[in-house]
Amino acid sequence: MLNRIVTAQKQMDAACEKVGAQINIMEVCGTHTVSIFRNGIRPTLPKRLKLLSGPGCPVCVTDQGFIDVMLELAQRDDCIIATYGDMIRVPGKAGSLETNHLSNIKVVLSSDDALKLAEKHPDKTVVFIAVGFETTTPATAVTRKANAPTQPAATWK
Amino acid sequence: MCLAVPARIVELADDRAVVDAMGNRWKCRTTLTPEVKLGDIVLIHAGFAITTIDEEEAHKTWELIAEFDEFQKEQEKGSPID
Repeated sequence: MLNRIVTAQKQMDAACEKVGAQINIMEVCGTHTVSIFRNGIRPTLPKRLKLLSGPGCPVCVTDQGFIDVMLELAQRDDCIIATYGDMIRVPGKAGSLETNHLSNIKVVLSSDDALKLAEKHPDKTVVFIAVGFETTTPATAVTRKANAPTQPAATWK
Repeated sequence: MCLAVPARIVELADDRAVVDAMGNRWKCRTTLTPEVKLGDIVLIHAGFAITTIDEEEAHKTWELIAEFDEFQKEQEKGSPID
């Protein structure tokens, strides 16, 4: 392991030497920042190579407590958790949606897919984790709006 | 969901479309971009077209995705550090 780190360091040194200037690499995701920190990568980097924390997105900065609630819901027999794929690796206190290997966590590619899942399982409550960007929210709204007539009026107002 | 993929509209009926990117086809909605036409290239994000983009920009992204694929294949051959 140590050998591999030393080899990697030599390769990085050589690469930095070749470029001959300061190299700045932006971490585009908060999960990169966390992984780099947890694995102690930063101190092993050449001086010329600098990592800059970039813009965290709503997914990677999701509160651990939120993930824990989703995991709790996922333990219930009457619930299915529908989520975009990027959410499943975000860690809560008790691991992520992925590491808990629960069969009722389903990855969907759109809010419409979450709705289809609900139609397929009328006996279950499908909880769609709609965490995302301002670009994802309109999609969630379209699905919600298109299906408004079947929703109870009280929750729709 | 941080990703958006450019894809060409190959079928369109109301706001339901079938799109194609690099030979992959899937269904998506065009509710948020009512101006799109058959043959347009749109950016698909979470199952919805969110904007139209030009041919050149789409090809740049597709080439980049193909590069990822090449990189992945190289990685599977084994890391140079080993």
